[in-house]
Amino acid sequence: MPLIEAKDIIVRFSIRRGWRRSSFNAVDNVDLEIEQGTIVGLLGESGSGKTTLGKVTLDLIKPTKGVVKFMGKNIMEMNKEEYMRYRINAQYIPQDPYASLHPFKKVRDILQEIVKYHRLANNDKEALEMILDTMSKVGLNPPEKYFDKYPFQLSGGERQRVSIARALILKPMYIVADEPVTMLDASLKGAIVNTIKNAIATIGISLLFITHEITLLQYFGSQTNVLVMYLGKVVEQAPLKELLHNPLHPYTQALASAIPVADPKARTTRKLLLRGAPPSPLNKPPGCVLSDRCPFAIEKCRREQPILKAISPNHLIACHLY
Amino acid sequence: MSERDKVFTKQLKLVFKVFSRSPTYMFSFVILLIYVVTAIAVILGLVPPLPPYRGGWEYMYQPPSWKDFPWYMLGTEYTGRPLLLAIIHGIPKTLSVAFLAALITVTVGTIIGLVAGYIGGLVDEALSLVINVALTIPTYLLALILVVILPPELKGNVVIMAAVLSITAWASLARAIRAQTLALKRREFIDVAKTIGFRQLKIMFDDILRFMAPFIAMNLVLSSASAIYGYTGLAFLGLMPMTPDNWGVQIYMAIRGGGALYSDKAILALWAPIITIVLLQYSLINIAKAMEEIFNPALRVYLLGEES
Amino acid sequence: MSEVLLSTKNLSVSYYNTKVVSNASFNIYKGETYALVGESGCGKSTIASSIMRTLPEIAHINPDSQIVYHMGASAIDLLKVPENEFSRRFRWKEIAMVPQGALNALNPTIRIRDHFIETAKAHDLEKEEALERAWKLLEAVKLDPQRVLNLYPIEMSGGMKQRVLITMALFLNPKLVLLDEPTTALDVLTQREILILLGELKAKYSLTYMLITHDIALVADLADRVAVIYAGRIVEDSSVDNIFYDPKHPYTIGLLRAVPKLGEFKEPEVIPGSTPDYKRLPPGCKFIPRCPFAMDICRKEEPPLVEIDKGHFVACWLYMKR
Repeated sequence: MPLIEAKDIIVRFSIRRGWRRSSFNAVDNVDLEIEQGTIVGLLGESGSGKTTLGKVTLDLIKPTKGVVKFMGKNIMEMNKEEYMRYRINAQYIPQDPYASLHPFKKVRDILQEIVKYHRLANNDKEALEMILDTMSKVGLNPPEKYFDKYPFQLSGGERQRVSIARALILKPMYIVADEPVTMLDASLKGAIVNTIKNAIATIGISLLFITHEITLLQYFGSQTNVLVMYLGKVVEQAPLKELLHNPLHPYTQALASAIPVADPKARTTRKLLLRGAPPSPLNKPPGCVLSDRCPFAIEKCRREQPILKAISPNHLIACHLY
Repeated sequence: MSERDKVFTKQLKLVFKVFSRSPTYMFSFVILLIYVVTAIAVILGLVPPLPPYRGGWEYMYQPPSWKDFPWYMLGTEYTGRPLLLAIIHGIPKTLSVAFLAALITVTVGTIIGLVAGYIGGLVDEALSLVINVALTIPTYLLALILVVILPPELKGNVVIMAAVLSITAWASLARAIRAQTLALKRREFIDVAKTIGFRQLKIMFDDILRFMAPFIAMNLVLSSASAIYGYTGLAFLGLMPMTPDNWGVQIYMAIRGGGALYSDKAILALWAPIITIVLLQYSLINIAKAMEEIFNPALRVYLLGEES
Repeated sequence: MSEVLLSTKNLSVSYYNTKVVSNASFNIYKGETYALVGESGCGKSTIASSIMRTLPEIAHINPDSQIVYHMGASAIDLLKVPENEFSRRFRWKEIAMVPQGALNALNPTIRIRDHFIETAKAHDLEKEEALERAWKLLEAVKLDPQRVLNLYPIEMSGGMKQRVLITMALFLNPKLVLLDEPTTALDVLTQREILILLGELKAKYSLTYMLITHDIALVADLADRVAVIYAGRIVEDSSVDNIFYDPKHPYTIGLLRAVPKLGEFKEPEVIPGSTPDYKRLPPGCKFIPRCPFAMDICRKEEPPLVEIDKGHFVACWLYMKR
């Protein structure tokens, strides 16, 4: 049984423009399964619904339709104890290192309040040990140096480490990392991803890694299962190696060819594959979500939405070309 | 020194350092300190009580004299009593009404604003309705009516007066707090607070409230200033019992009974209470500004040199 | 291409008593794209602000520093030009900057057309001519002028805002354009479009670019020559091919290794240590705490920037005989 199972998730948002009320599906009929101890990548650009989907699995957003199950049990049908158990075991590492920490709390306060609230330790000494241990695990060494600092006294990378420590201290079974390194320097990204990787490996935590940079997912291994999202839909799903070797969906191909590569010789071989810009989510094309930009679009694409289906045991794709 | 004592002395040091950064702050702090100390002295009985009423032109609005130094330095007021002493006797009541009114205003306003903003939905609709109604009621008119209705014994009561003055004042603070809560609700650290499993009450009254602490502290002081105006204003309109220790009554009598707008006789009795009020207000407003600085952790670190 | 357009000599900048840029000397040749690459806080943005003379009040430029701009036959030290002459003759007219999109450089309360009109007024340009120029530039960046001129910044996407910022930089036909992190906060596909656009604009308007970024992959895409900056000092300066295929300075090598290559599934490579504390820099080479090759002489003396090969400058004792 998978640790987290999200089925037929639809998240509908409505906004008001003047008198009119219009709505759109930020997440449009998506299934997501995460087995215990595995890492799943969620790849997409802004507006793809990836953050919303991640938050749905954490019960931070309630889906308009669809069910989220934790260890087989529907979270909406859980009693108080079961829900508390789920709650502690599902943690979040947000994107913005500047907005994710309370500016008026020191690092020690941020971590101590968690330990105290959930009575994770029997006495102050044990609590302190726990905190120091977690802090060194995430690379804040020596921990004493960071203990009494406020977030504004830390760099972006250090703040993210505090965020990671905060997610880890409850020893959860599942963590959602939402673009945790997007706002950091390129040279720092690997270090923070490494920290996350090592931290989850020691306790066998499942991870949902949300990003728009496909190269970061490489650090998690070639067999990492990756879902590619665009405008609320999953357009392709495959293990990372397969996805890079054999990207089938035109959107995946465009993503793979657009990534900046640290090789001057690669300059001339990069061209743009998609026309124009992503439409507003209120103006999604009928039919396939990519049909207004896809160079291979045929008449059928404009009329009918393709279904996500498997063309090989672990490679799924939603495209009329296949 | 225990951990708590250490933290407390650090806070005191911080407050002192913030105030000593600017002569204006220092001045305001000292003025308020003088008022508070004087109030305590009056309550403790260290200040002589007011002598009995002595009517008649020989005693009313006498010019300053050296008699019984220092109490007759400002002469006498409309009851023949020494003006300076009368003003000093007025401090404790004014300060307590003001601070109590501020406390009520800020507590009620913050709680209603927080709950409305964070919980949302029907609770928010209901509370917003209450806030909006309270906002449309003209504050002073209501206070006026209430004061007129109240029996005179209650008008002297500090708690009752504080309640009257804060009866609608909480509403605009509630609106501001609600707006800030709505904005803060969406921030990522609130998402994390939820996944950590903190219950709603904790998130509201610890995380979100802490964010607004400088704003609330500032409002506490500003509400006191506003309450002082309300209190003296009601007395100035002649609606309060004519006790000599009320500054507004002093001003009222100086104009009505002493003709201070037309002659020089009662001029001191007009200006002394006014200056007392203005000085207090000025200090409070500056202290309100300083509050924000005290609560700003960046400034705190810079001043206390916490580099660790 | 071998004409110098701008050169700095011993540029040193301090904030209060802390030196953040130290003896930076480099040349920018006409028609090239010169990149300054380094981690956040390394001083690259300070160098750019020094050239544009937009440093904050508390910054102090060392009087020995020179920034020499070549106009026709004459060479002018921009640091010696009085402020009102600089803003009339040079800023925006000769040298312009495209600021970071994420930094809200556009005034949120006025429409785009008013941004242009205000700039025009400040430089004695007629309103009609200003709008005509704006129109042509907006078309050149592939935006619809009819629509965009009437929008407020909040109504535009990140990519659109970036393009508008580019048109504003080009408004007065500058020769040198400083690009400050032109693709941060943009999605992968939009990034690629902006990069292609920048290349087209450079050819069309005969521009020279100075690129400021922390992303070394971006440098590989755009730059002709690169300067690597660490702790306010240039540690390596050479052609883009040399930097990528024959890097000399250990920091450059570290930066290259920290960026994942497409298709490589391995552990992230991390530059050990953390960003320098400018108030407590070590004597000798500033990179010592993080350098795997540190020698005795590195701890005693700071290495000078020396040309060890044609057009290849390095500041490192490993390459100098002592």
